Amino acid sequence: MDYTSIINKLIDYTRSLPINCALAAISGGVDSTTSAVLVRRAIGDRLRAIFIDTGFMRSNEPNQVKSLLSGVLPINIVDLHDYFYREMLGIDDAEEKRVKFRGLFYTALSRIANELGCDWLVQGTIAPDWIETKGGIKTQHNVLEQVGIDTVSRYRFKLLEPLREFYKDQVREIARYLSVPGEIINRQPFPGPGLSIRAVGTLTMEKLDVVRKATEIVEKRLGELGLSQWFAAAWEFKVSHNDEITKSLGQLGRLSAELFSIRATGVKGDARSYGHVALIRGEPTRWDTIYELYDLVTSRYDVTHVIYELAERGRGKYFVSIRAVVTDDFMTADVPRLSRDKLLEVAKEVLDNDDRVAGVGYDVTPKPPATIEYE
Amino acid sequence: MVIGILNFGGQYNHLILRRITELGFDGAFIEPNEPINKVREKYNCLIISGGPWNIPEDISRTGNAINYILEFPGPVLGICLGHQLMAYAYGGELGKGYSEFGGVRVQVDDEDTILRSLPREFTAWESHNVSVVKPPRGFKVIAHSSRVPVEAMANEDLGRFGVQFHPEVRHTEFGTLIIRNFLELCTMQ
Repeated sequence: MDYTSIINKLIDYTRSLPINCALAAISGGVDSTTSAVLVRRAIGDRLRAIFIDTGFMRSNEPNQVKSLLSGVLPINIVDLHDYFYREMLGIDDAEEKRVKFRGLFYTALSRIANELGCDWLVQGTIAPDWIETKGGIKTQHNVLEQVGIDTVSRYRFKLLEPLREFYKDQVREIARYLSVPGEIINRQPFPGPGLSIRAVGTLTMEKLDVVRKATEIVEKRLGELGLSQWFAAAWEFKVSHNDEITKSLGQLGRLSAELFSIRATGVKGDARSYGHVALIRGEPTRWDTIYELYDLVTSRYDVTHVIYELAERGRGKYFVSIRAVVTDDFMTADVPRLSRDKLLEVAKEVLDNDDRVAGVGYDVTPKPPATIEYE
Repeated sequence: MVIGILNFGGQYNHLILRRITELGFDGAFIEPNEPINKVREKYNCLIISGGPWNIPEDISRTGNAINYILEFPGPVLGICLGHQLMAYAYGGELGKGYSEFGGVRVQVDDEDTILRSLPREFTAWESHNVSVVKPPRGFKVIAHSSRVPVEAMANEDLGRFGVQFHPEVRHTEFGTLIIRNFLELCTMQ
């Protein structure tokens, strides 16, 4: 593809719009940053970039993003964590969290745009965002027009989504042409609702804290392996034994299956599935067998994520799942065949680092039938 | 030459367009209610793509798809739901209980037409609850998996081809080659 001509067309198009001031909501990821850099090329300082601290960020993320972007894009950090906590703590359903987050996020942006006199909003919506949202798989917070939300009447701004027809790998190419720093280009995706959807099930401050700590370890320990995305999620360690699934696993080793009390999002046959999360324990016939578990379990049962247990201790309230995937465009994703030693090392560190964690496992489910995230 | 992509709102439809464009061809989406004579005029060949419906119970949601499959003069490729619709339209047999998700090993039975130049076995990415368990009369099974007997089928005389897996996704090995094979069949018309 001829990216120079694509970029020039996008810049010309942006210049043709009657923009007084455009507000860009930056997450520090490649999509939102590249969109803003592109629009800044077109309209200069009439682009105003902000970073909203929702309180669902990773450790020290707002400041890290600001320093990553220094020299590329001046941004203001707007701290709204009280507002998001007040409105979102206690929600347990995945879609309810996502829809609620979207409403809060754009209500805040509308107020800020209004204060700055901005009549346009620039955002980094890319193809998988609206494909998944329109397909009813999950609500991506940055999809509005495509699902019939009229932003002018509701939020008083028009939308500019220069990258809406592109996939992540293409956005990264465009970013390279725009000289966006490599650290941003290669940054792993982080969803808009952030840790609120990785604290799976009922959202509490404690669960957010557990997932934030575990995320720091997982991101650090799996960071050099060339993965596309790698993170931690956490939920209550409440399981019930499932005889039927356990029996079906007979040929794969001395394994037993439990189902967690929470549910997680998947995509089966092009449709949303909010199914069980299975925990498989025991000795597989050989290590690589753990990567075959998902097929048996998800094709026959209402299960969207299959997790192989790495470590457990008798005390603690939470279970932490290590999630890692390999993909270019995030439409399909495979699970990297990590070694047992590597995973046990990470699991041990997560346990040692937080008394509240009772068990750690590795999610061995590709997309489909899982989605990369849990909610 | 323009390739029409029938859009049922499946997750990978937009990726089909991306692949076609990358291969240097023109593609455009068709809504399922577009009249067959319009489709006939505008496009040289058709891809009937995936979507969230189950066949036969959701057949009423698929618009004119069955008519396109039976009446369109040029080649037609059915992918996932499109493959199932094609089997249904020509009298094949569908079944449930053979779901496949993620990576599946596919065995090639006939390395010809859309599967030309493929190895005997490759990994394809899938996401389906319904499967074609018996091909329609006149269709040859050209690939199968350990769970699903008809992973790919062809009727060369009619110019009809179906694949249960998704050649348009990056994780399917040789996926682009399969799409290119189909587009080459289109150019030969």
